[in-house]
Amino acid sequence: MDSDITESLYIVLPGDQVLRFNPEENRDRIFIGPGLRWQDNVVRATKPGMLKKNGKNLYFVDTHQKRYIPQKREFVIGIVLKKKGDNYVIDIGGSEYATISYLSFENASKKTRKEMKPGDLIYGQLLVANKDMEPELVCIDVYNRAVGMGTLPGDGIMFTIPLHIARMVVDPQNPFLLMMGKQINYTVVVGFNGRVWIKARTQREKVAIMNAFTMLELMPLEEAVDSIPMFFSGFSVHLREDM
Amino acid sequence: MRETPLSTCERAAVLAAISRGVRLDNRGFLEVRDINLSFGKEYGSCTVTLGETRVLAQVTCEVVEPRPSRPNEGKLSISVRLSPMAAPHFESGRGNELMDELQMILDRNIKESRCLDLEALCIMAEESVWQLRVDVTVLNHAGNLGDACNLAAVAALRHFHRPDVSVEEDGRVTIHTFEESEPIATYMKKVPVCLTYAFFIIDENIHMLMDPSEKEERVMSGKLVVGLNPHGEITSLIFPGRVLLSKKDIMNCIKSAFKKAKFSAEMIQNLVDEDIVKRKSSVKVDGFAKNLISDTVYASHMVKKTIDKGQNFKFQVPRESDEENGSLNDEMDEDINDEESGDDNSDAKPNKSDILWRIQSIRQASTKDDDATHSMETDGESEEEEKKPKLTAQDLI
Repeated sequence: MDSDITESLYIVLPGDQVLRFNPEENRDRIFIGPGLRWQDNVVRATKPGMLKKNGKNLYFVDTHQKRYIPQKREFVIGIVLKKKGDNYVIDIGGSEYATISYLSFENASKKTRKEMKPGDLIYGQLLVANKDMEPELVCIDVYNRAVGMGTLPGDGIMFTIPLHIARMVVDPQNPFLLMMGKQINYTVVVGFNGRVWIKARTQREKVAIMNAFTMLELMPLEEAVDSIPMFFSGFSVHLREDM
Repeated sequence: MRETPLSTCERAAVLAAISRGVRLDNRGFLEVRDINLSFGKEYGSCTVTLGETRVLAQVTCEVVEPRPSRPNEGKLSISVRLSPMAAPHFESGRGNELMDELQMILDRNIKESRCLDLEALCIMAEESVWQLRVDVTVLNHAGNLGDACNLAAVAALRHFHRPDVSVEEDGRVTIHTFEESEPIATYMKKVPVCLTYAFFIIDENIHMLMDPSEKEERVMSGKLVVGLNPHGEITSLIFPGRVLLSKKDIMNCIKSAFKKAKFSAEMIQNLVDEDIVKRKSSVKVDGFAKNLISDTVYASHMVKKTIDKGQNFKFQVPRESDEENGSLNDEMDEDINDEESGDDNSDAKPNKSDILWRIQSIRQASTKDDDATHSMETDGESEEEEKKPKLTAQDLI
C-alpha cells in the first residue's frame, strides 16, 4: 500500500453517487479503485463500505470481504492443484483457477523446468486478470528475476485473513508486523488474496502469530499493537531477551 | 463453488502443531469450543453456536394419520440441510456424504433412541396424531457439525410446545390456539448428546482431540462419533476413517464422553427450562435479534481471554516451555489416566466395562437396558459438579 496518508471519507452503499467526473471538463485526473464504477460522467459505488481516498487522488471502497477478485499486478499466494500441459493450475481463492507456465520462473528453461507437486504453495504476481479470461500468474518480473517470488517452503504455516486486513499488513512498515518482529523472529509473506504464510522457530510461535492476526479485525491498530506482548505471553511464547 | 484445496503446508502445520501439543486455535486437546444456545421468538426454534460453527433448528408440527403398525404414536422426522451459506462448496438441493452422515447421526440419536415420548403426541388412536418435524439448517461450517446439529435439534425439540387439543365425544377434534389454552411441552425423557473425537496418526503415535475444527477435520485420520445420554446409554457410535484403536482406547473415549455428556445434557436442560420459565412469566421475548452471538463477539472474547492470560502470566515465574521436548504422549496418557482413576473412584462396580461393551454392540436398540442405566447413573457424581450448580458452556471444557 502507498505510504501516503489514506483518509476515510464516509460510508457508501451500492448505487450511491460518489462524485461527478467528466474527463473533458476536469483537468485533474483521478484513479478509481475497487468498489467504484465510472459511467455517464458519474462515479458510483458498487460495494457497501467505507469510501477512502489517498494522496494520489485514488478513490476506493474498503469493505469486509473474504472472496478474492483477481486484479492485475497483485501479489498472491496460490496452491498448486495439478499440471496441465505446459502449465500448472493454481488456486488463488478467486472464482476461477489461475495458471502459471513452467517457464515463468527464474532461470527456468525447457531443460531445467520447475517441478511442483499438487499442494505446494506458490507466491506469484498476476500478469493477466480480467473477467473474461483465466488469470495468469508469473514468478518473475520484467527483468526475469524472481524478486522473492517462487514456491514457499513447506515448513511454514498458511492461513487466511479477510482481504482488508491483508491490504493493511501488506505494508512492510506496518507497526503491527514490526511489533511482532520485536518479540519473535519470523518471516511473513502476505498475498492480496488474504492468504498469509508465516515461518517462525517453533510451532507455538507460529500458532501465536497466526492467532494474533485476528486482533487486527477486532480492534484499532494502535490497540492491537499494544496488546501484542500480552497476547504472546498468553500463548506462553518466550519473548526475546531484549524486550 | 469448489472447495478450497488443502495445501501440504497447511496439513503439515496442523500435524506438526499437534505432535508438539498445540492446536492451531490454542485449545487444549480435550477442550471444546464455547457453546452458546439462543432461542427464537417462537417455541422450538433454536440456534446453536459451537465456536464459529452455527446451526439453526426449527421444530414444526402438523396433524397426520398414524402408521398402521403404531396406531397410538406420533411421528417424528428430522432433516438436515447444508446451505451454500455454510460453506461455498455445499450445493443446495444436492446431498453429499457429510449430509448423509449428519442425517444418520441425528436419526440414531434422536429418533431411534426414542428419547421423545411419542405416545404423548397421540390425539386419537388410529385416527390422528401429531407429527413433529425438525429442520436442521447449517448456517456456518467451521468443523464438528455432528455435535452442533445434535445440540440444536435436541434443544429445539425440548423447547418446542404444541397447541392443546380437545376431543369431543363425537370424535370432533379442536385445536386450540396458544391464546385459548396453554400450549403443551414435548416430553423428553433423556437428553441425547453427541461427542466427536478426532484421531491423528503421527509417526505411529495416535493423538486424540475433541471437537475438531474444520481444518483439523480435513487432516484427521479418523474420528469417533459417540451419541449417548447421561443415563448411560449409547445411542449411536460411528467410527469412520483409517484408524485402528484398541478396545481399551475406545472404552476410555466412551468413559470420558459420559462425563462430558452429563454436563452437556444438564446445560441444555437448564438453558431451555430457563427460557421457558421466562416466557411463561410473560416477559417480552427478544428472539434471535437480541440473543444471537456474532462471530466478532466470539473472536474478541477469545482474544481477550488470551490477553488476560498473558497479563496474569507476567506475575508468575516464567515457566520453561516444553516445546522442544514435545512430550505430548505423556500428556495424553495423563488425561486418559485421570479419567480412568476418576471413574474407578466414583464407580464401584467391577464389570462396568463389560456392560458398556454390551451397550455398544447392540447400539441404538439399547434403550431398555436397565443394568446399564443403573451402572452408569452412579457415574459422574464428582465434586466438580457439586461446586457448580449452574452450568455454562465453560464448564464443558
